[in-house]
Amino acid sequence: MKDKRILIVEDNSDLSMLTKLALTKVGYTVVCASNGEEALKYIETSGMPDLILLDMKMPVMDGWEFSRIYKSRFPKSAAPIIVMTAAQDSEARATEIGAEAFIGKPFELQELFASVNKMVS
Amino acid sequence: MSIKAKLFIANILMFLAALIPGSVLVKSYVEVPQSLKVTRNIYSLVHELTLLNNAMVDIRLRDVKRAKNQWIAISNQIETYIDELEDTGVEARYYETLNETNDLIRRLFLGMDTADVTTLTAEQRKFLISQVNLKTHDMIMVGHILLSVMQEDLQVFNNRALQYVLSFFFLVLVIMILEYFFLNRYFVNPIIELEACVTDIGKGNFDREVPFAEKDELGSLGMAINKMRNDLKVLTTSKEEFLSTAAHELKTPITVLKTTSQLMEGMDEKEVVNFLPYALKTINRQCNQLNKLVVDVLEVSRLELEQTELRKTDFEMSKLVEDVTFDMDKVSERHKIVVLENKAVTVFADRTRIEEVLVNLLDNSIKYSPGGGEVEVKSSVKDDSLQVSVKDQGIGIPKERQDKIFERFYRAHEGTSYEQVTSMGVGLFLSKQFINKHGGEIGFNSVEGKGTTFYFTLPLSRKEGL
Repeated sequence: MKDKRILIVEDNSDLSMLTKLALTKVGYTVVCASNGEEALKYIETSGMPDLILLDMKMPVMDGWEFSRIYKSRFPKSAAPIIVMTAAQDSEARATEIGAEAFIGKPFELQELFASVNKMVS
Repeated sequence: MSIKAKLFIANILMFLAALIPGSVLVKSYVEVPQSLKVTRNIYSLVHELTLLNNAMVDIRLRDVKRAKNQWIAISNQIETYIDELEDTGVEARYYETLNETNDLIRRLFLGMDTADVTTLTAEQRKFLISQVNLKTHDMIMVGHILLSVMQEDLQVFNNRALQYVLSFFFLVLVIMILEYFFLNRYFVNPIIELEACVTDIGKGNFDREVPFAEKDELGSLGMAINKMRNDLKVLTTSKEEFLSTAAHELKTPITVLKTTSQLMEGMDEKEVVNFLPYALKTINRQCNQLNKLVVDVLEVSRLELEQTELRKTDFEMSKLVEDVTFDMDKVSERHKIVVLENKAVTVFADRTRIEEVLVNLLDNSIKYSPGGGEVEVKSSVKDDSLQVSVKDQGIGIPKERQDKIFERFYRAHEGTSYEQVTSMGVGLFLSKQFINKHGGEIGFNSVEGKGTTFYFTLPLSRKEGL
């Protein structure tokens, strides 16, 4: 699994650090971006990851705007997106923006692993 | 019954009230021809003449003396009537004829003193009677003609009176119709509009705006309702947003705590030991954050009930500044909090609240200068009060949003790309409440793109320098 790269897009540094730690422990390579803009820059310079974990509420460029630009700029090579957010109505919105899965905060680690494993394979 | 119907009924009543006495009044203004005034007299005149005619019979009875007195009396009466007739301006030929005839008859009767009627022959007597008869008939004729003229005058008078009254009627009707429309437009319709709006607001629909904008009391009532509707709309929206933001804000630290503990569950002893320091720091930080959020929410609802009480003590401001800046400096690696001035001074205030204010200002400075940088803090004495300022080089506050910045739930960066900076919008509201309760002031200077300086003042303790 070491060759699988996951990009975490999350503005809370504690949370992104912990999630990175958890996923690294089970063998993924993990990169963090603190907002949508940083995430796009990363994809452009280092290539498309295998999975994107996307938080919705971030400064500078939020999850909605990111996914819009992301889907239009990389229509064919786009990696799957799992939306992670605390807001209630985001489940509906996630399907709206074309995310493949949705994880509500706070989440169980097992839940996260199950979803990630499913998306990556 | 709707107010339109009531207005209509009121109008009808006013219409009748104006019309009935008005008609009477108008009619009295129509000129009564003079001739009509003497109608009664003419009737009397004719009556007398008829009497005279009948009295002629007495000549045949040879009681001349008695007949003569009667005739003369009647003739005098006729003369009075004729004089009155003359005064009324009736055509001259009428009363002249009457006068002539009357004189003739009187001379006839007066002449009987000198003559002895008993000596008259039957033929002479017959001639006398027929002469008087003819003349009185003439007079009666004239009388009848006069009466028919008067009938015509009366007719004309009635017609004119009718005309006047009808004109008056239509005039009043037109005025009433205009008045109905006027009242409708300026009173009834506005009230109906207001009722519809307020009913909507009562149902929670804030979209209906009062449409008219007259400069009278109803207009200002409409504007007041519009403002109220707007305020309610903003408040409802703000509250909804606040609640949704609060839910989100609270879930974030909880997620961190949960992930931390779950991670540790899956670690072996060695990993746990290595991880522990970071875990504990994180837990602490997140709990502080949670606490702050919970306190904020509670404060907001407490202030609504105005139950917040200040617990004032004397404390050293410089120490507070030191402690807070030290803690806040650790919050963000990209930011450095620098204390440029920190005067050793005692203030008499609620230390917890003032700490909250300072934390809020520093928190804002960090949050709204995402590129990092320095945050400058100054605490000094100016004009007998303590002044504390917090200056950042961040994104600043847009000019059009500045006047609402201390409002509850207001987030100045709503709708901008900095909207998602985690903030519930209550910090500044609470800070202002606290500072004002102490008798101090809070304010700011901000230039969009350059940075913001927030400051507040507090009165000094009585112990200071007095």
